[in-house]
Amino acid sequence: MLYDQTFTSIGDQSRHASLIYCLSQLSINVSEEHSGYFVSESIELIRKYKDKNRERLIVVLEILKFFFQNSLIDFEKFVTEYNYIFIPFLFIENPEMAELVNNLLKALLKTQNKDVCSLYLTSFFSNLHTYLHNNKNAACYGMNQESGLDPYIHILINTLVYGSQEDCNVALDFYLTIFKLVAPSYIIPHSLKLIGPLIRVANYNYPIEIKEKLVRILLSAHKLDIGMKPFEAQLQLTYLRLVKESNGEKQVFR
Amino acid sequence: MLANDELLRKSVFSCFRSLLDKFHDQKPLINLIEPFFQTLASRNENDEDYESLLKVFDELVALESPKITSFLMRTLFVLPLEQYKIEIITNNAASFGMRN
Repeated sequence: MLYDQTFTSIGDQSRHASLIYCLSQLSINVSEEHSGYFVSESIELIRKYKDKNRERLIVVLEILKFFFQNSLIDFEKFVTEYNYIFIPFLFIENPEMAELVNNLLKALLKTQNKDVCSLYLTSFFSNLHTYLHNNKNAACYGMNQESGLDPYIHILINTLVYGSQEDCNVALDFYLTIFKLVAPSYIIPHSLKLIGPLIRVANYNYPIEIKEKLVRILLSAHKLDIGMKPFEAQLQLTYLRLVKESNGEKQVFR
Repeated sequence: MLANDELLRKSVFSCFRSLLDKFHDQKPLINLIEPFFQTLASRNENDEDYESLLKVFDELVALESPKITSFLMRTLFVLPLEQYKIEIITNNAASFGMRN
């Protein structure tokens, strides 16, 4: 009822604003038991208005964003169940939409729990990978903006450094996807956070195939020129160690 | 209930809650709240007494009486959704959200 009233009030700025505020306040005070109902209702509205009504879609996204930013409940079930819904919006050429979805994803994917980071990343990346497979050459406007990578850095680094070997592999694939989709200028602000952990993981006791992929990522980073200078000394030592580990067999290390 | 004296006002609300607990039906609530709704319906946010009228509902919800909260929810979350209803709901979102 409140959503309907909010939609029909779109022409009346004052009433519209008060209804959005009202819904937002209710959303963060709803019991954990009923939060699932609120989120699934909101997701249904996103599906309904996605290609039909941009104004109503933005209303729902704004309220959901507020909910994810301010609610104290655990989002784990929402992340894995619904993250796929937001991915297509990253590929819409609309700066307002891109910023809104980025902030929503940043709030949704935030977690202080290292164990959950891998779950979030593998779920999100799996859906992103599927989208990219079905929409070849799609341009990711959402990631190609200031703060475009903010939603993913924390879960990516934690998955890479603290996840299982399998999770690490997923994280490395995500790195490769970022380097393909995102312009260097938007990666550079995060280069310190992104490159350091790669060097750390190069020293893990992982199979040579994973280390090969890791080095390919570092080579891509060099090619993209995303701020590798601070790491030159460490990288030289790392490459030498990897050459020794592979008994000089792997061309990529040399 | 509209008195400026806070102590007096709180005593009145507390007394009302005790009275309400003695009744099985909701007549005291209906008799109290409907006139306030009618008055609010004829007001807008620029009227002098608008805020104090809204505050009556904040004080009622603050009594934490399940009878009061569920009655208010039944009467507020219906169409037409006038502006004063939106403001009462917003001001008491913490209580209504938990029971919704």
